Amino acid sequence: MGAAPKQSPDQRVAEFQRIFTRAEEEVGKVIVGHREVVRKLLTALFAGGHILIEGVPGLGKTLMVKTASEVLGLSFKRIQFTPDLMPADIIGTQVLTESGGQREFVFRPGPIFAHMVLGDEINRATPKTQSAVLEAMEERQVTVFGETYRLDPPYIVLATQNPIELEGTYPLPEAQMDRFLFKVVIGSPKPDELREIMHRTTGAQTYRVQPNFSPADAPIKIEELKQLVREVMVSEPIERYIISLITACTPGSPAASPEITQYLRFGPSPRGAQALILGGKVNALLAGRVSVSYEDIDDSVLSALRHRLLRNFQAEAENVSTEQLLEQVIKRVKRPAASRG
Amino acid sequence: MAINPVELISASRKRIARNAAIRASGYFLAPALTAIALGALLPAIGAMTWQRMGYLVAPEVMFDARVALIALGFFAVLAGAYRGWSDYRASDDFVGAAFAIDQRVHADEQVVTLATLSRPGVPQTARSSLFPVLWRNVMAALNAFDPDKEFTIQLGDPIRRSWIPSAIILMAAIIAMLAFIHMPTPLEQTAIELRKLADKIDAAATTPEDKQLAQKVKRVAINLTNSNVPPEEKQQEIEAVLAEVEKKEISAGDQAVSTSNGKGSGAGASSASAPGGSEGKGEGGQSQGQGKGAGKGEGKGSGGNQQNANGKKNGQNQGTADSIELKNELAKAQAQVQTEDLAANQAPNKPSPDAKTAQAPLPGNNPNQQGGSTKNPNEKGSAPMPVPQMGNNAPNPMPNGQGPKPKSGGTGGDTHLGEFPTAANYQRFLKPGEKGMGLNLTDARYVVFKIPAAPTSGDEGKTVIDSERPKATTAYTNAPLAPSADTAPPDERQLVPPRYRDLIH
Repeated sequence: MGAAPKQSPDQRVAEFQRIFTRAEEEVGKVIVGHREVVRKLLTALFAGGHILIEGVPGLGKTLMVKTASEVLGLSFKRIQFTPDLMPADIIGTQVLTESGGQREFVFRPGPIFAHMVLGDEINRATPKTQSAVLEAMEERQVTVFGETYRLDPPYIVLATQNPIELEGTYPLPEAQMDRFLFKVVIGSPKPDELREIMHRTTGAQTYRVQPNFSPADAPIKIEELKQLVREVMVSEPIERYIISLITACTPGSPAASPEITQYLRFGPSPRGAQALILGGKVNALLAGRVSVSYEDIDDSVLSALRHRLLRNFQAEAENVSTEQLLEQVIKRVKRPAASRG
Repeated sequence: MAINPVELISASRKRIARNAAIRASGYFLAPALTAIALGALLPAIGAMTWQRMGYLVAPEVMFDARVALIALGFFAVLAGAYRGWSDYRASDDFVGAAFAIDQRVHADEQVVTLATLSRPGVPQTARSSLFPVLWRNVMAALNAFDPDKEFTIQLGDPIRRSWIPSAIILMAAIIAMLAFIHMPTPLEQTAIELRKLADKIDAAATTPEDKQLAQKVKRVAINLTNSNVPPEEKQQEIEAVLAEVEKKEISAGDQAVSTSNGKGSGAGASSASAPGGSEGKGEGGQSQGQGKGAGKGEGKGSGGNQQNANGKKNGQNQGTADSIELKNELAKAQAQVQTEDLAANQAPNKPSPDAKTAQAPLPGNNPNQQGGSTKNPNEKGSAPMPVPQMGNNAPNPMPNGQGPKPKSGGTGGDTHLGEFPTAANYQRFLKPGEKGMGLNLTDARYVVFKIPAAPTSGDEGKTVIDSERPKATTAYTNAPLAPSADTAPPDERQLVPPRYRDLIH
């Protein structure tokens, strides 16, 4: 936790808007298109969550994360997951070192010790390695040989998945998927964007991003902004709306539609509701408000819930996607007009 | 002036609740008004139906319908009040009002959030450090917000929708009216005519006696269709009114004579088909009189000097015409009461099994039969004596005595079922052009028609054709009346003159 905020609430809100917008713009100068993905990435960072990015290789995922870390002045590490990758390769291990004539085991932290960690193709690692990463994501700490090492805040894991070439992969278990705040899907660039990508990447001119903070101040500043997000207010009707959304996605519940019951095995956990609220809060601050609106929630529904719905065999056979089901849910669930009290 | 969002939300809350109550009540406004208005106007509608279309709704049905409609109207009022109260309570919600404001100012649920955090019972510690920002944002959003302008009473939709139940009530009332209207019975028709006359007398009344007479006529009219009033009582009432009318006529005649300087001489012979078949003959002074029982009078008179009485004459003529009409209607009523009573008595009795001592009816034992007249036919008539008029100026276009002489010898005494036929005062003088009501000749054995005199020439000797006299509108044949049920010998059958066939329904 950083120092106590010295600014007025209005200034804090304005600063949040400025930093977020500037980071978006800076990343946008390097990454062509994918503005929605960039926004979700930054949203997850300020909401204190992790993000799962799904897309074919070569779309600039690594560059995007690296650029974002540079803009925000945060440390960045990349892990390429492979089937032979061991947990120690990620977490780190004790190595025997000699110092002053004495030998001792010294902990050598792995690449997971960074503010922003990119886990490329996380589904290629074995479940054992995946679980090691996921433990770090959840607990923000790792334990090696009985010793616990805390990960410095802010901490965000950005994992990528390749939707193709699934042979020899280990799909993430549902329980572990649930730990990602958002899941975003990167699509192919549009023709105009592709042209711009060609110009930027094949020319002699390179662009250096302007960081928002110095590496020393960045963690504190970002933690303050994360705290600001937590202070955004949510009214009772909005809370009831979120509950309605979650229950409407739970198969077998009275609020669930026949399609949900037909095509889903499991619905979202309470983490889904948390993700909706946090995403909504960031959206509210970005709009200059300190309270969440229905639109803020709706804006987060797809990214916050799409990976939390477990489709059944029928849905897969009929090629019914979770996005289709969620769009139906958004249309179906009514916004509460007034309190019951 | 700084805006307090909480006060603004509270004011809006009251206004929204009040509007909701009015709006909810509005759905019942048109049905309630329709039902009450229909209930209030039902008598007028009934009267119009009678006057324009000749149909009638029974008074008791009319009363029930009025009560039902007015009760329905008040029920709708009560339902509207309850619905309004219910909606008021449902809409009296602080956060709900905030939501409504939020939608109007597009504040993205900021007002709602502020309202939820400002409700009584929510501790201030639950508020975020960003609450002041929220407060300022809401103040800015509500800067130009006026609850009185934003939350106006919108009754358009409720009234538009309430036309459906209103139309249903209207249609139900029309269908009920159509189901309950009927052609009036002769008795009802007479009662209606009597009411009209009573109203006429009442309107033109100048003395308390006239007012009293109007009241009495009204009472007769009311009791006439009241089945709870025994026929004897009805008869007594009618006779009492008749006597009063005659008395009034006599006094009016005396006044007329006293105010007229005319000296005329004439002989009038009046023959009255008095009950019992007696024949009356009286001298009515210079003009014919009309005896009790609508007696048929004939007379011829020559008027004297009467120029100075012209003004009074017109009024008197009108009064005389009303009086004659009233007497006619009363006579009709009397006859109808009598006929109904007779029909009731002649209806097949259903003797109880215990009644073993029943007697067969004897001829002449009918207690309801009206007795014969005890008046001395030679006695001086009591008919009013209007001022004698000259020729065509005579107030009543009565026969001039040149027509066929009245049949002497009473009714002829058809002893049907051993009884003398009761005389009914069915005679009625129709005004020129008036068609009158049909005669009920269902069980008639014979029909007596009075044929008007031939058109008389005027002073210049020119023949005046009465073009308005009744004419047959349908093809006719000289077929006998009721040939199937007529068991009378052929010599007693009477053919209806063709020109009067359309008078018989």
